[in-house]
Amino acid sequence: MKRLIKFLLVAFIITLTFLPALKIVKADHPDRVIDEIGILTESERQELEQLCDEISERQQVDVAIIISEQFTYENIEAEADDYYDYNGYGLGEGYSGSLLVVGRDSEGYFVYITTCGYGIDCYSDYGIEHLIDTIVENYDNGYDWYNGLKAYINRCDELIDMANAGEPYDIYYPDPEPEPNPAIETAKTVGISTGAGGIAALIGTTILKGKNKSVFKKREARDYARPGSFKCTNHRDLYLYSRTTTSLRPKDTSSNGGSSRGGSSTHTSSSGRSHGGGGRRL
Amino acid sequence: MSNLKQYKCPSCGGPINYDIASGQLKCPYCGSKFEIDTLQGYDEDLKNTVEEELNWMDKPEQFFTETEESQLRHYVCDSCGGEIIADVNTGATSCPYCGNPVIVPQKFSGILKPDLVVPFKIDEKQAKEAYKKHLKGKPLLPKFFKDENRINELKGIYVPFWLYDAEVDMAARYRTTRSRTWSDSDYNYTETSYYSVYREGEIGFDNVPVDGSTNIDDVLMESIEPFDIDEAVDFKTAYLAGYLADKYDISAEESKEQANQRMRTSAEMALASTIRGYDSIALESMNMGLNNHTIKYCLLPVYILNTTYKGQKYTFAMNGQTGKLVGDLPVDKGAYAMYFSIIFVIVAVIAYVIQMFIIGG
Repeated sequence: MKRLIKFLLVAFIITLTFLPALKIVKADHPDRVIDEIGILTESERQELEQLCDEISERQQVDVAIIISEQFTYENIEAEADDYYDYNGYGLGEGYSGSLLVVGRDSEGYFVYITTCGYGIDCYSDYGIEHLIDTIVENYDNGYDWYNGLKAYINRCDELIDMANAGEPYDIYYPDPEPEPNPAIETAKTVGISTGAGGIAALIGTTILKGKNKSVFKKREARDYARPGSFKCTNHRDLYLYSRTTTSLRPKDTSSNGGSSRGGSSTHTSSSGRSHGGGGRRL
Repeated sequence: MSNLKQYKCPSCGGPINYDIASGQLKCPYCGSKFEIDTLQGYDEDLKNTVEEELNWMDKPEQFFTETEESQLRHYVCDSCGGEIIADVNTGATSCPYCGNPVIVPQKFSGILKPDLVVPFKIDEKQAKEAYKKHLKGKPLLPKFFKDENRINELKGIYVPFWLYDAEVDMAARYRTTRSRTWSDSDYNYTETSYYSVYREGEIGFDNVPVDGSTNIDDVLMESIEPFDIDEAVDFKTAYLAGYLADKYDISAEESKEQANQRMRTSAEMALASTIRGYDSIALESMNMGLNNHTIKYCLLPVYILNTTYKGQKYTFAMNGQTGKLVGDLPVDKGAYAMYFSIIFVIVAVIAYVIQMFIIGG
């Protein structure tokens, strides 16, 4: 009995020792959904934040949102990066994560997503455009911020899953191949065979028809040119002018792994960290 | 009095002014700039030095003597209007062009005497063999044409031709281009350089033949060329023994345009053959002048076979000197359908098998 009491006491002391430390970790991380404008109700904000917390901790990649008028669209890239870096966002050694900034100025709303660490790998440039489309779609359908942001957060989770599986969402992300329909496949095979037969028969019979034709107009008189009579008595080649046309060169889109992808473009923030990102006005 | 000389822009054809800033001549319409030497050279090219001169001297008329006329007969076909000359011993019983048996003897007068004749070198037996050979290897040919009776209708006839000799001076102007391409990290570039190319030359033609009879198709006669006129001999009525001769009904004057056109094409081809090192060549202008020109009237040996199949007339012609035989043949619809079906089925089955068992794995 004494041993049991002793064990429970030790366990209690250990719990008391580490519990504050755990709490500090949680307390140090900034809120993952901040709404300074008030486009969400408090209950909506809390629900979205719980979703962000759950995904961020499970994936160890931060998913965060700030809705504020403190950002300017002209400097949004630097401001979003700085907000991310200097307010403690990002998980792990690489400060992995993303921050969605929803800003507002005299011209209306704008959005920008900044990515960092593993977040850069998870969200390619094409992926960022896709995530913004998710928000815009709901915004255009009646300024539905709550559902737009919820869809955005869930899509972030899916994009992180794809990156974890080694196939980040990108411009050449392959669509699943549809199951071949046997009837269509057979029709295609028969169609190709019939077409090949028809073309070959047409070519073959045209050649045979050509054998029946031997009368052709003669437009020149080379058979009657006096041998050796042709002389070039004067010649001049005069350069006149040049014209140069340009055409855009297709970009080399290869990335590591050998597959053809758009990838992520990155820049360095004022803190010296690398960030990806992209945004637009709504 | 103005000393200003206006040039024509080689790029757009607009008038060009002097650009003081660049010291060059600048086109106000397309913005192209040129050195003065370039425009002077181009201006010279535009003034073609060979004057277009295509007049042929009239051919001196030569008529049959009374003795020669007494050895010949002149017939006119009631059906097609064909005019036939034959020697008295050969005579003519039917029209060699349409087969009509009613041909009427005419008074022999006012008919020009040919200067030359190329005698037949291929006899009738060889001509028939060549005809049979011509029909071989033509699976779509109706059987009707292989009928032996039809082959017997082959007739040897001297066809009247005008032969044109001339020495030709010619000058041509071409627009040519040369292109090069290169790239940097963002763009592909293609630079096309334009040149004015001028060529002058001379060439001689001997005995360019033009058919002088309306009874026989010009294109058919062109198809049995060439004739070796070096083998031609002075005309004698004796050469007509056993053969018919057609009387010309298109004059040398009327036929000369065709000779000019053929000479022009060959002259231009000869000049163009001297232009090398360009990616494209386009003829802009050409002039041609004729010197030392003569016209001769010559009879050339031709075998002709006319036949009618399903209401359509088909004519075969053979060069009686070289044996070259031509004649467009109709297509047997039944044979066409059969060959089409055979090829269709074979290729379709092969394509199906390849798709199912080779590509499909």
